[in-house]
Amino acid sequence: MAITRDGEKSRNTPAKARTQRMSTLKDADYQRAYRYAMALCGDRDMAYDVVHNAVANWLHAAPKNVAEPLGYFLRIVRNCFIADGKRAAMLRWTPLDDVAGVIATDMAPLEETFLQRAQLQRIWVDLGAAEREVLYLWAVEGFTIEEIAQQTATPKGTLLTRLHRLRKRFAEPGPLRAAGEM
Amino acid sequence: MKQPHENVPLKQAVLELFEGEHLDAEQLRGLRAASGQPASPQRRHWLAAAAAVVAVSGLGLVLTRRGSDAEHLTMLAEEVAYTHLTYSAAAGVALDAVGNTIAVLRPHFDGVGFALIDASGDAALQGAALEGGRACILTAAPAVQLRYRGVLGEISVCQTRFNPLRHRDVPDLAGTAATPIVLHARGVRVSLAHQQGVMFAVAVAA
Repeated sequence: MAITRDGEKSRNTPAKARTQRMSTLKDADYQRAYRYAMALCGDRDMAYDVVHNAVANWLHAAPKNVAEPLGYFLRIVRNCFIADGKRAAMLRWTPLDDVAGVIATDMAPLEETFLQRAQLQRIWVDLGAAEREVLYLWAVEGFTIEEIAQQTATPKGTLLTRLHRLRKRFAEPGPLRAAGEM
Repeated sequence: MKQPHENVPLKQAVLELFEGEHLDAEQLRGLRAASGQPASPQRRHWLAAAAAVVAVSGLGLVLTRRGSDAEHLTMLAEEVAYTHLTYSAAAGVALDAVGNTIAVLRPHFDGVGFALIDASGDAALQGAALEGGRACILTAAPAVQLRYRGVLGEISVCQTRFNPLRHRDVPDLAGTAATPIVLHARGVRVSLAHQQGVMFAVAVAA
């Protein structure tokens, strides 16, 4: 089941919705797909190419009864990203230390994390595609852990363990101010 | 202005990272065309409105190029200007490494995927002293922001690995008589050029 936010889950889909096709995608939908591709690729040109390929893939597949066009499109974007062998290798988590501490059962620890903007910019450069993807789906798309698990085809428990490790990165102290600066 | 040292929720910080990421008009047209959708009937209105905004905003673009290229370079200049203003000594942002020569700083940024080059030949850097650098992001790729100080005040030189698609139309200084292209954004003068496989942008208050 392809999922998008705003309550658009494909259950008991009306007949009218079943006839929706790619032509119903709006500019805002393409923008969301592009930002998702940016989270995956970390490169603007690559992200555009991925979205463009996703369009071609959809047309080639010519699926019927797409109840949630945007959700379906986001899944195609992801599949197009990993279709390239090199990119598939990018979808791995940065190796971190062994797990220590209690692992939360939801996203609450991330919701409670604060950090400096400059600190995130520094950390973001070192994050892998898988980590950027999860953070994007959580922060920008507002996905729950269950929805992220489905979108990324990752068991929920695995995701929570990885997020627990990732949170350590954000807990590191931020950069000190320059000497003499306020 | 968003303060770089302000503690904000992680969710908000991630949101802000993606705020500036969007397809431009040309790219949207390409996707609509590829999907079989008609070109936007608002296209002409958008272009006219954009031209009006540029004309009255005083940005002082010095380009005479196709609309898509001007927009592409404008976005690049905007990003450089934002980095210069936001991650400055005046804003209290510390350097990751201090040093007064490129050779001293180069080993500190081994992981960015390119070697720092000496861009001190740029006119804005004449008489300026290098103070150090910090890792940053430019056009969604690892980059280094070098901090200089001269008679004009603080100067930023942002360097990242040159990408012929991402940095299209940025002049190659290896060419005979080639000079950087100059734009203005957010009250900052930004010059763009590339050499030896590195794209660099020099930013200083206009």
